[in-house]
Order: sequence, then C-alpha cells, then structure tokens
Amino acid sequence: MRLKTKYLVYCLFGFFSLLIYAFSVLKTTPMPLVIPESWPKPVYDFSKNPLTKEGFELGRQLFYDPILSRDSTISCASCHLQATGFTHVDHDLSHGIDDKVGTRNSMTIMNLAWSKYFMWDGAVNHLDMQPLAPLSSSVEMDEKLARVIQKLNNAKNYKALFFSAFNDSLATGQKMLLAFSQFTLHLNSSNSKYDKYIREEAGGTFTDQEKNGLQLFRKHCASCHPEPLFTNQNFEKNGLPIDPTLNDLGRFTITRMPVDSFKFKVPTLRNIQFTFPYMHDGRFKKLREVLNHYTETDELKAQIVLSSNEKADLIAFLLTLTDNDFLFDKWFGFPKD
Amino acid sequence: MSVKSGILLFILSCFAYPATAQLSILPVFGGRPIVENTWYVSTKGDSVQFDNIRFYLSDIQFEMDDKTWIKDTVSAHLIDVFDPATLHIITQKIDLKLLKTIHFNLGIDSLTNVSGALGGDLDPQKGMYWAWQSGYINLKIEGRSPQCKSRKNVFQYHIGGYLQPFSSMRKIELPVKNTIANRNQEAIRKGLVLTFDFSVFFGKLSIATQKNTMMPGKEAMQLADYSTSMFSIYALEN
Repeated sequence: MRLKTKYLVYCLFGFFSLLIYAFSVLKTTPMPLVIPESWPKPVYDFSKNPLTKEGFELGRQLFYDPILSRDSTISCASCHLQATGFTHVDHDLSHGIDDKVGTRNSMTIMNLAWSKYFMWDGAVNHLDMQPLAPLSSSVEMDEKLARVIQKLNNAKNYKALFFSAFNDSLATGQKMLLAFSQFTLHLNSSNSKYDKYIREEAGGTFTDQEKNGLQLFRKHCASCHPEPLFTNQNFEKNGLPIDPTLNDLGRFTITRMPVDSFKFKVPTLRNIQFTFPYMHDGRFKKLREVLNHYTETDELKAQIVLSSNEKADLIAFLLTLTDNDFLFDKWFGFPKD
Repeated sequence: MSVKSGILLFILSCFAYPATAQLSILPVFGGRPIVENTWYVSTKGDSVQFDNIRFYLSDIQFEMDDKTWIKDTVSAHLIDVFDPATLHIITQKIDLKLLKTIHFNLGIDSLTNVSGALGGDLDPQKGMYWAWQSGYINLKIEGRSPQCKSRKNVFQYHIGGYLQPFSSMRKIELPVKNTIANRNQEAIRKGLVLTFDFSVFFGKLSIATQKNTMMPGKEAMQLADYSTSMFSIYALEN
C-alpha cells in the first residue's frame, strides 16, 4: 500500500512537471506575411525574425504605447495615424515631445517589407533599426533605449507579452526591435480600387477618367513610382527648390557624396488621398500643387507636360489608391484589451 | 562503471583538459594602466583624463605556427575599459607556444551593420549604436583635457561609420611577442595579454582643435587610423 502511494506521488509529480514544461515551452502561432500575387520578393529577411501572432501583438502594444517617450506623452501613433496611412496629417513638419517641431514631414508606414532604406534620407539601413531614430530624437520621443528597456522590464503587462512572443519575459533592445518589425511588416496595403482593377475583381471598375489617369501615370510618373509598390525605393532629386529655413540636403547628409545633394527617398503613393501634406517638408497641401510642381520644374530628366484636364484625370487615378480595408483594419489599430 | 562515476569522471576531465583559454585585455597609457579620475600626459604634453572608453573587438582569429587558424566562437566583444568583467575574453584553448599571430577587427564589419536587430554585446541598448543614422560605434573615447578648447574642456570621440569611403573598422594583425618589458602588473603575469596603449592615439591627435567627432566621415577615418598602432599581443608562460 505504502509503495503504491509512493508510486502514485511519483506519477503525479512527473505529470505536473510535464505540464509545467509544456506551458513553459514557447508556443507561438506562425503568422507569415501574405504577399500579394505578382508582387516582387520582399527585401526583409523573415528567417531572422519569423512572424508570429504573439510577436505582432507585442509590437502593436509597443507602437501605441507612450512609455517609449521621455515623459510618456508621445507614442509612435502620435505621428503615424492609421486613418491617414500611418502618417502625421495636417502638419508640414511633424511635431513631437514638448510641442517641439521637427525638420520633416513624417513618412507613411505601409508595405515596409519591400523597403531597403528608411527615412527621407535613408539614414536607417534596416527596418529593425528604424524605431531607434524617433525614440532618441530630441524633438520626437527624446528617450534612451536603455531606459525604455528598463521601463518595459518594470511594467507588469510587458512581462507576459515578451514571454509569449520570445519565451523569455526579459525585455532587451533586440527583442523590442524585432517585435516592432513583426507589427509594422504586417501593415500592408494591397486592396485599393486600383488593386481590384488589376485583379479584375468586384469593386474594381475604373471610370474613363481613372483609366486615362492610369495611362498618364504610367507615362509620366512610373519611372520613380512603379507599380505595384508605387516607389522605386530609390533616392531622387525632384526639382524642389531648397527651403532656406531648413537647408535640408537630404541623402547627402548620410552619404556625404555631392551627387546625393537634394535627393530624398521616393515615397509610395498608396493612400495618397489621406497622407497630405506632401513632400519631405510637407510644402504642398493639395495633389494639384504637387502636379503643378512637376509640370513647372525644368530639373527632371524629361519635362512633364499635362493639361489641366489631364491633371484632373491623374488625380482621379491617384484617388483609386485609397485602401479603406487598410486604413480601417481594427487589427492594426489601438490594442483594446 | 556506474553512471554516477561516469559523470564524475566527465566533470573531472573537463577540469583536467580545459577547452577554453583566456585573453586578457590591458588598457594602458604609456606604462600605466588606465584608471578613472587619473591624469595622464601625452607625448605632445597634453594632460588627459578618461570617463569612458568602450570599443568592439570582433572576428578574433589565432594563426598558429602550423598554418592552422582558430576562430573565436563569439563574433563581437564589447570592451569597457572601466568594467573589469569585460577585460577577460574566454576563447578556445590554444597552445600559446605555437601561437604566431592574432588577427581581429577593431569595430564592427559592414555586413553586421546592415543585419538588423542583434543581441548580446551587439544589442543597441549597449549604447554603441547610432540612432539617427544606422551603424555601430566602433570606438568611443570620452574624457577631458585642459588643452582641449571645448566647453568644460571635454573631448568626445565616437568613431564609427561602415559605408565606403568612410568605413572606420580597422583590421589588426599582430605578431605574438613572448616577453614583456614591464611585468609588475598582476594582470599580465601569464597567459595571452592584449595591451592597448592609448598614449599612441593621443600622441598623434591634436587635442586643442579636435574636440568632438561623432559622425562618420574624414575625421572619424583619421581617428580610426590613429588607433591601429595601439595594440600589442603577448603570450606569456609563467
């Protein structure tokens, strides 16, 4: 009898040990990126950061959390609002902590798996490293990475989130950055009226004006803004006269090569209806002003000539790049528990 | 033989034949070890004191007499002159008698610089990564000098940059020496010792005018060049 009890105790002990082990071993849910058909191969190396539901949730929490800023006032979403294509609408130059104003218009966040360089001047060389720039900028979040990690390790809710994403509750710089990428890599826009037109789906019927706009777009704009991403991912000089209050030399600031003076990253045009104001310094409020600049400048490789009607057609086409599924997807929004 | 005695024997054998060796880092200024809040005088007559010296040693490789190469298993080590724990690197066991040359990089190579978020000593939270422009800081030297014409006489050299033509990582190749002139230091009694003589760097620098270097470029390249002749490696038997 005694021996039997002992045996039973051993068995129970073994069972519970296994149970604890089962729960302690990482069980993440793979959530790979859905790459739209006929799109190019992404630049991001997913083998080094396999996408999971848990990693996405941690990244999403971080994206909307002002804990990242020095005084807990600014989150990523302060300058990157979902409803406007994850950019800062209505301000030519984006503002951050203590109402300080930066020197550029915040960029949009979408389809980043295809980007090789980040920021208007390409200062950031990898998506993982992108959050470090706004985090430490004195006019954005003005915080130190080591302090953010300390704050995350002191916050109760993050222990569980880091554990479920990485099987280790300790926050580190590397894990935080990988989680950010897990979230932002999923911010993909590929369901606009234009996409449906290309895929010949319901809701993708173009008007004659939109069709003409697409033809004009392919003729005059596509060398820098090629489909389907609407950016060639390069740095280009688009003829904008320098703003003497900013003296922004763009890509030159990073490479120090004279050939890169006044070159800026070519932004995507997806959701352009809502991402105003336009250009690196937000100097144009309306799409018409943008088109007027391109027809007036003589600094492009080929002069763009467009009549007033053609400009209207081109704008009609650009509005077909609005993707409401992306702009209002609850999955990308503020995490409510 | 029982399992228990087998395990015991295995553990004992680990002690008897250590698979690792230790590389000691010895930062000096002239003949003196570098300590905080202490003045040193350069060959140019400048007085200097240090608050922070940190740098990356990466891709350490040992070239042996028999032409074999032994590679360190850890890709990069962050050395902090004022953190003794970082001044001893554990590497694979090597026969010091047969060691001919040591190869390493001062700084981080360009491939690592574009590889995204990395961990351990390469985690950006270690404070050796630039936020405003991607890239590791290879070598950080901060301190003060009355000869430095800056606010509070402070100098700050953050040497980094991985893009050509301003790639500031330096490949170092050192023939191993078996004797050392000044052996009174506890740290250099025996084993493999890598000395860093910062007086070499400050003997080349014009501290009055070169106050701050904190971005990639020509100045960082020049400072990186100054740093290449600071090192010596000694393999010392008891």
